[in-house]
Amino acid sequence: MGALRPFVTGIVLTILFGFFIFAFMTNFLGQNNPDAEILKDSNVNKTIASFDNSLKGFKNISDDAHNLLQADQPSPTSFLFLIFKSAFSIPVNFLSMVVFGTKGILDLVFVNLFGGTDSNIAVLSTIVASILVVAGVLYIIKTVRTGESER
Amino acid sequence: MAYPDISTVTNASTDPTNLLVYANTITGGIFMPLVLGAFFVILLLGSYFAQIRFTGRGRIDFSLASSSYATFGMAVLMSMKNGLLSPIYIWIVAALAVAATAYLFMSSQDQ
Repeated sequence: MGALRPFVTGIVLTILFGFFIFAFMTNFLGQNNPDAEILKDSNVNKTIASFDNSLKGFKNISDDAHNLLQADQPSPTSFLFLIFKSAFSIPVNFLSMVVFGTKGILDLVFVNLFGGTDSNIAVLSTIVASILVVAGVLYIIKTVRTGESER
Repeated sequence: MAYPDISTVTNASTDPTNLLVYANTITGGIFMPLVLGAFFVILLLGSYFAQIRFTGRGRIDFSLASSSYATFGMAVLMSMKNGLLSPIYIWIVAALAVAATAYLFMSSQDQ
């Protein structure tokens, strides 16, 4: 770390990892022990569902591209339109995945560690999120000033 | 305080995990978390010193991440039997795994 690109890559991969381990846990226990106590927590299913919605944006773009390639008469105009649409929607999807993924992981972990909603939990999760936001902003400023985003 | 006798364990011959549930119950739910903690510490220190032995230098972030992943897998396996592990410990291990992953990705890449 020390530059913008590794920082952003690290955050995105950490959120994806968090999604995968929670999804693995719920699916594995759902198949092998549906009566597990941890599955009775409604926050888990809500968080997994919000992750799914964030990732569905990428799946929709992928499906559109796949359908265009599979068409009997591929149209260059449609490809061009898809490229311009993706140029806007992919960064938006990334941002929503980072924001909602971070919020979901922080809410899920802190709420379950400290047993229910509490003002201290909101403070803790806000502190962690603030650290990430401030670090990101400082890295963006450094990249704009020096033009360097690699370590 | 008198604890339940081992004769209260039912179906131990068909489901030996009932014995682990019994051990966990009479110790106030601390037995299996301690086993999990020992598993984590053994993997952490073992992988760290193995790195030093084989490569000459150890990366604690690698060891922390790998041991937390394995401990999380063990915690999920333990949660397949009701009464073996309280959900709070699974969340602790999951939080540790996410934090270790964040630390791994954010740590310096200089070698």
